[in-house]
Amino acid sequence: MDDEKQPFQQNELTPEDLEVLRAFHMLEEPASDTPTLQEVSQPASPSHQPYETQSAATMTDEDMLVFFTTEADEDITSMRLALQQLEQDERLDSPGLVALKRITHKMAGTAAAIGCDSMSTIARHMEAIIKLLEGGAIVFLTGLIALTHAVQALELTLESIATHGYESKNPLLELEEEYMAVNIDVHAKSTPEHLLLEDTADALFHTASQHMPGTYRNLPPVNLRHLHQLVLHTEKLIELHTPLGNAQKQVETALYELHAAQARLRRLEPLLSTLSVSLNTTSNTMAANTVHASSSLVARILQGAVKRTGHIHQPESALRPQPLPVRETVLWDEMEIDRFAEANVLAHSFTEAIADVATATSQLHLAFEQLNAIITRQVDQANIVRSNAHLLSSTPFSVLLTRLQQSIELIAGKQKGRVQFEVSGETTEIDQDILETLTPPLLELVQSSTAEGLFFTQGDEQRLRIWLNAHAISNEVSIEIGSSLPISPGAIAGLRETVYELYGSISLQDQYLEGMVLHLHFPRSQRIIQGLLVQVRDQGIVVPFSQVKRIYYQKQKPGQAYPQDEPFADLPGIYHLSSLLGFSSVNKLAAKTLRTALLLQVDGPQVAIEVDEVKGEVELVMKPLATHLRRPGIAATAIDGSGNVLLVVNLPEIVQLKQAQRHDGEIVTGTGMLHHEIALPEHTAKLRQKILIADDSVYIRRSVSHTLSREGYDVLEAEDGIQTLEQLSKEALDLLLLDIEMPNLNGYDVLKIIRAQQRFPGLKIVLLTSRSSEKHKQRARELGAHAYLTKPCPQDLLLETIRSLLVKDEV
Amino acid sequence: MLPLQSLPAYSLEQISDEEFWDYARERANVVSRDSSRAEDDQDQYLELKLSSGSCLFPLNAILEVVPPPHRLARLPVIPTWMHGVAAWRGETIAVIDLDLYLSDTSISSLDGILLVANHAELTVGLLVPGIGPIITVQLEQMLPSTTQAGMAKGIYAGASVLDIPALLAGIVQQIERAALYG
Repeated sequence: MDDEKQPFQQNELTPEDLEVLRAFHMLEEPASDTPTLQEVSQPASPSHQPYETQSAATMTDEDMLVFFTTEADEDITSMRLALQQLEQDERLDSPGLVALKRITHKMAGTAAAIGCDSMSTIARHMEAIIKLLEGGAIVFLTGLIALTHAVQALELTLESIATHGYESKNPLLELEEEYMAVNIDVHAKSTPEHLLLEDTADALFHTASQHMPGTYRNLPPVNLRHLHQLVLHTEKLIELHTPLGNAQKQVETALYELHAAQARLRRLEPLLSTLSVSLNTTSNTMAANTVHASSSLVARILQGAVKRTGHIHQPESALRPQPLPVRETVLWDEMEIDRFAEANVLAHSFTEAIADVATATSQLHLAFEQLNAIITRQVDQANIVRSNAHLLSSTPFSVLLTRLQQSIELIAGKQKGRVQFEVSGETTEIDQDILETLTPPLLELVQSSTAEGLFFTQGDEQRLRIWLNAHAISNEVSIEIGSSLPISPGAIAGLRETVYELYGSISLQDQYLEGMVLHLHFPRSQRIIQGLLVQVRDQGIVVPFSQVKRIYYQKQKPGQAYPQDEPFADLPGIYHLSSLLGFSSVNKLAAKTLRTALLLQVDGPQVAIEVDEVKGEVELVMKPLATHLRRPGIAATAIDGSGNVLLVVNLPEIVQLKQAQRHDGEIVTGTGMLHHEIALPEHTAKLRQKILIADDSVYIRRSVSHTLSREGYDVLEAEDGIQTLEQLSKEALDLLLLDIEMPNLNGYDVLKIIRAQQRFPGLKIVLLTSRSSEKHKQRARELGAHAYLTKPCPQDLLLETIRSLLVKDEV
Repeated sequence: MLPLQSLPAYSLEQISDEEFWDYARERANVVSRDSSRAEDDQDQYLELKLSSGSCLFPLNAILEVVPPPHRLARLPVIPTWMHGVAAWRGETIAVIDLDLYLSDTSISSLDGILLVANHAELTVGLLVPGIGPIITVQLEQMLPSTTQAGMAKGIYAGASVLDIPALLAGIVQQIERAALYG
């Protein structure tokens, strides 16, 4: 308390103390009250005057500004390095993210202290994005891009300070605009919706993280605009419940009325039978009496007339009023009034009952029509809700474009002026999972095309044009990627595999002087499949629309048999789906008069797949197969309305597999099952065959080389992926012994390029690596490796593997 | 005396000691009866009539006994004893000819009965020619198995008692291997 009462002793503070106090003071003040840098360079505000003299403040600001810009420059460099590490690690527990958090926090404080509001705000935005990332509210890739752009904004702002002596606000404004465009709300915590989302995400995250590897710990963010749309349309769907209920009630009422009318009609049935008996009896009586009268009064009159005239009155028609039974006649006579005959009453009732049935039937029809109309509306609304639900996890294509552009600029460096990057369809909504899956191979493709175009193509000053276009129609997304210069086959191979994983297709169009264009097509959703239902033998198979370019029909003369492999007109290569799937071949073709083939969306030569029949279009939910039931080329199954299981096929993958197997010396038998053509002989291998050892370890290269040379093989060596490819292009090799982890291009990259180029059909590839996990083995198999050996590998196993592969090749 | 069977928990404080202990004894008997019923389930087996004889299938591994599916979808490269895949409660399951798998003889059609069996989250449809009664197996009277190494736990009343974990694991492993090696 005493301390508080003591007057402030300004003279006791050093200039450094004063600066620290001023910095704290500014930190505590709201952002709008803190002076900007421009203001700092002006005479100090009165509020600061108690701590320092004006001349001292000016000097200190200048010194501090120099100190700050130097430190900020270093911090930005550190941020870049941290981002690079984060990008490489692709996980939230990366040391890069820890470092980034520390530096941004420091930057936010020091920038605010020096009065650089924009820089401080940008740094705080970065802190917010990191929190969103960690909370799973934004996807990893989006967060990474947002952070990279923030660092760029920091750099530009710092540059403005160094150049003009004051802080430009433009980079911050542009950054915030960009964040808005991609739905990143850096103030998310202040809004209840986001709090709810974060809480939900956290809850899900904690549940899911127990079963998921670290890489998948990010939960996809929910697009609030789409969420709003979903809620709106769900409400509309719920609103339809009342009219639906009313329509159902109307149908029930109409049905009840119909039943009642039918009951009335049924009640008349016994009366009609009685009437028929009564009519017979009466007719006899009438025959006896000659005259019949409708009542006793009329009878008396008629009898009187007969007496007077001697003429007997004849009935005019059979439908004239009939006498009632005696008892009723008496009753009617007592009233002395005329009455309707029973037949009249019955006929009237009968007509009324029929009219009632007709009315009730008509009402029922009407009620059914109304019910059907409401059901149709409900189904349409449910489809809208489903589309909205899908869009929840979608993101605009622009997110990927930004990353691609950044990547091009990174590769091009100072030559970025030579690259013309054109995009369209930025707003096309694509599922986040699909976009994340597509990003690495697309980045690789664009990077390699840029590098090749700028650095390895003759004609130094040639401009490189790269263009991307995305659009979505119905359930299909199409992306066009073009380059004015040839695209690397290895990069295309990588992209092709990813597209196949997405149940899609890829086609390459070489435009000669205009360059190359890749067309990717894949379903918008990975859960619902829309495709053609085809029949193969007695089995239903679904082919996704995105894999089919055209359907071909060829008429056949009735009863005329034709060879199964005879090509369609204009189709160079054709397979029968039954044969590709290895189903038994029951030749029903002779009886067919129409052949049907699907032309696939594939790059390279056209491929057509013949099917027995195209049954129509279907839209079904895909059911993933259990691990033991998975087969290459079978993407999933779907269950139709009758409970039949339909196979969802990936035709490009099946064809690719077939072609790869043919290269491996396997043939397809009549039933389509793959078998080795000839059993392996046991005797010796051919001598002087060439083997390339690709390994970055000198020790491994030397020791394996020694072993193989001793066995009579010619041995070559490569220490990285690039050297491996160079050796492959120079030498005719028989076998490649390939390591996975190597500089420049890793073993998988080399494998992809080899498979993409298809120039080495006879080359056997053995992976020799320290990686022993099943996923690596699986990857190697998928990329076409013939054998997989784990280091340290026993010498005899290595030699035996090589020998068996080369002997098989020789055969 | 209070109706003890439906005594709500909050009433426990209101009853006398004698009533409380009566209630406790009654509940204890219920639990005892339930647990003995569970033990009974574990000892109960369904007799399967195969062409090579009968075998016993534990009742607790059967999810459902249904008529065979009228149509199956074939998968590429599957073992000869696998008919294909069928839909069961929205799930795609493998349909195995158990007769052919166990004894190399087959009914060669989709006649018979389909047992939907499950163990360790693995569901498989097993097609058998016919089924018999449910039998309570006295485990202590079970004899060691001489055939079907690894797939039978023993012999009871002349029938093999199937070892479901081993049976299903073997089936799944062979289906998976077929995809790799054809």
